[in-house]
Amino acid sequence: MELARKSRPKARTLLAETWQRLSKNKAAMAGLIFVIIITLLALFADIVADYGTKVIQTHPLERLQRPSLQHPFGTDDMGRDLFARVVHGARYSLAFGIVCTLAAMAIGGALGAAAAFFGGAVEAVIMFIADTISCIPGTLLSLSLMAVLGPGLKNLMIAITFGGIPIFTRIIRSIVLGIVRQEYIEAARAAGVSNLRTIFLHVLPNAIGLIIVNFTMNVAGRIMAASALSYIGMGIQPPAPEWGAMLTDALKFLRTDPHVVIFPGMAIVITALSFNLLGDGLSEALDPRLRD
Amino acid sequence: MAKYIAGRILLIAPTLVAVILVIFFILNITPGDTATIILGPSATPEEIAILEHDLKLDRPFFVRFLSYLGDVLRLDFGRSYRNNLPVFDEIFAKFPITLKLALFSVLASMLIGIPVGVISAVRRFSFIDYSLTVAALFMASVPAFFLGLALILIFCLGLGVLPSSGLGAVTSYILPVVTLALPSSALLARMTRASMLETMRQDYIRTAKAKGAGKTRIIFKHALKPALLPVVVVLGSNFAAQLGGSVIVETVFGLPGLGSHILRAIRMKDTPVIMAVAILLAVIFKLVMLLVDVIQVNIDPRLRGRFVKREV
Amino acid sequence: MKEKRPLLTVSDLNVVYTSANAVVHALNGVSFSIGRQETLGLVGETGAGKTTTALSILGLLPEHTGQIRGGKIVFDDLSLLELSDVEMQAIRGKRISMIFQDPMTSLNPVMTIGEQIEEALYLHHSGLTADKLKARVNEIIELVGIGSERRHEYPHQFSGGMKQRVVIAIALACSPELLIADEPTTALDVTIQAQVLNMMEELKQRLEMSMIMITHDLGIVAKTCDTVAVLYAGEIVEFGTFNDFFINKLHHPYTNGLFGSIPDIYSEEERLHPIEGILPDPTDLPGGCKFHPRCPRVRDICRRQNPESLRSGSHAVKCHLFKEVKGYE
Repeated sequence: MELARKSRPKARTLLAETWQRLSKNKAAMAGLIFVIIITLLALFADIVADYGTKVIQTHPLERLQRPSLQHPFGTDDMGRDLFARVVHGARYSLAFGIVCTLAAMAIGGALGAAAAFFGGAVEAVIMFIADTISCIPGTLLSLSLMAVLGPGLKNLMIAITFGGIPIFTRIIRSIVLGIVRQEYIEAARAAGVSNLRTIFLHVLPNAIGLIIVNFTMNVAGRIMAASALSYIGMGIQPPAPEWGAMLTDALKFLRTDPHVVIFPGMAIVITALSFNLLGDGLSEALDPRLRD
Repeated sequence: MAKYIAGRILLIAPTLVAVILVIFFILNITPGDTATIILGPSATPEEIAILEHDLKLDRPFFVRFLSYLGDVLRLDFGRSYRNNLPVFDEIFAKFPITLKLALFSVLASMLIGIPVGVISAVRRFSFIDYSLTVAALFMASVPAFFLGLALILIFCLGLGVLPSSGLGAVTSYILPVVTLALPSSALLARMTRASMLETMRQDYIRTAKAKGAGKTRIIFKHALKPALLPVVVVLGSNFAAQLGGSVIVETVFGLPGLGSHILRAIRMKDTPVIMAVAILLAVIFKLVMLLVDVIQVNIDPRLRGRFVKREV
Repeated sequence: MKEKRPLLTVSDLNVVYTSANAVVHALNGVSFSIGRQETLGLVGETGAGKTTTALSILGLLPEHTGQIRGGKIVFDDLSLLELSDVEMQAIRGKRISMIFQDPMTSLNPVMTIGEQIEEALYLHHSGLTADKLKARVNEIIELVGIGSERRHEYPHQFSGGMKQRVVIAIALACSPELLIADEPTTALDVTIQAQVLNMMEELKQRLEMSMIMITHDLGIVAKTCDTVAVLYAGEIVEFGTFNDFFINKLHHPYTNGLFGSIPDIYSEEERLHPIEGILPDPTDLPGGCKFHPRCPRVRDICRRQNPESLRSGSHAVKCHLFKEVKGYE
């Protein structure tokens, strides 16, 4: 009797347990809080600062003011309130981060699953392509794609998504392969548990953990890549308030008005850092072997 | 060992051809652009057609590809659309700068990252570990261009110590190298830490302790070598990332290397240059990964399987 | 009976493992002793605390989770629990050695076996010259039945049984006074098991060593041990000499259960008689005698009071039932 009770799958408690361990990690919780804040800012950007007047409209008389009560981050070289622009910029960054990573996950995941399922020639071809793509440094790949596609939001998203595909292809492929071959799956089946139940109660909890961790770390990477491309002018064009684009001519202002450079830059760093802290915390919380 | 390397080089060839094909494909699906770019926006359709024929751009895709491939094998990468100079010569001149940048930063990231990772692992759960972890994650969250800008702000404009742009003395390499090295050393530190922790859990570490080995000996003689296996792989892919990252860094610091060269080429749609640099980088990447494999086999005797007799 | 002073005495050892969720009471007052040139068999099921006992003696409990909460371990007049880590390092591998269960993972894959054996020597006899070291390594390798020309090979090039021989070579390199062997043959094929055990027996005689043989296999105990201790839920419930154990018929109910679980090729029984129930949860141990929930002869007092050790000569049993047996007090 006791044996049976102890072996019932504990998918629900895994979530609770993970949360418990995660909540003890102060850095990860800080990351989580910031992610929530930034998401809220992005969602309610219009309430925080009106787009038309503050973000786009130029006020030449107010250019390059230092931070003050009226302009918490100061103004840029066109007199626009930097705080408003940074807040609206969060929309772009989050969009890039989350949407592009989801897309990369979906495409890469489908390819990886196909590779694992069908094996043979299909797998060889898919993995070959994935390897080839990863041969070309990410920045360069995105740049080349942008060169071909032309600047703009949609194209930038495509270019950035592309670089993330090989990673997810590999991850999903190894997860699916693992599903098919794991010994504990055999054990579950031997005990008469049906296939579907096996997958849901035994496989998914472990796989999801891996996917979530990679997801969060990837988001940070996408955000940074997008801002880098915008910085060199190959991404989002001004006057859109994308953080990287806001730094394009930064060198000019470093000496005299560093606030123009610091605030958008720190926005990128804090956002990426939050996702990274969260992802790192998750990976430690989900690792069953760290119960040492 | 020589046989192994030769075999691996042979395997690289098809991958490289595939890479060249992909690059060629991406940049050449619309041949029409090429002629327009060269002649400028005021060209007439007839002029474009003539130029296309001269440059053999009106031939089918695969024919163009094969002819390009043939040229590449003879190290002829065509001429730049911008100034009509041979692509190869320009690249050859600028390559050393970027190479130096990448090599120094890989070295620097190793010298910083690996020790930090080891310390973090050995002092797990301590304040040092937590701070180093956060520091590493912080470094990994700063985009290269912003890090460069920040460093310029502090060291050039603030302290006035180092040059902010241009290629002068050795000192002009310092900031760019640091900019490239810090984020990748952060990654290396995380990887080393995780690998060390994993290695220290192994049974053979317990055996070493039971022999009477002290902590220092265990870390350096028993744990470090096996732990470095996955780290070496990361080093390899880091190097590739470094080469790519040089595009940004060279722009920020005004270095006339391959990175800024290809950026300009991309802006101007100077296709032959873009293709040549991309191919060059891919070749280097593959060679680096080959080197990584050789090092791995060197570290881990279990990987030498093919050449040693089976278990007795 | 040998009247020498015991080599190792463990008294009332209390060890717990702490994790974020629970406290595991691994050892609850373990006491036993072993004399010189004697082999003690430490018997118990998986999870009873055998490995924990061994690790505690050498101070090898996992740092963050394992804690010794009480007791004494005296080795040749040295109180081991009071020694610093550096002092323990001098003892590990030199005076007390340990070999572990799984030879596949016990050897460092990137070092040759020669290097690993040499290290054991180097750590404790650093005065030896390089040549002397090499000669000694060759000697030891041959001692365990491996050709000395194989010293430059790596662990993965050896089979399981050979690997275990290497492990033994490392452990015996400095001629320790006590060898703790934690299920040394469990992971090996049956035919290899016999070989390795014989070799260990031979070496033990030659080097005049004491040995603690940790095992769950009573057959091995019968073959190799002078004295036996039975471990259950972190306590020694029975202790005695070979005679006390295999000739004498009176045992702790658990020991009876162990004997009863062994299939007997001559008996006509059709079913095995395993012990009812399973090992108690070490985070939630039963009160009174820890075996009482599974004991076929349980009494009221067993539920309430943990029995004291009752002795008769060399035989000691922790069971209330023995109060009624003549000679035990």
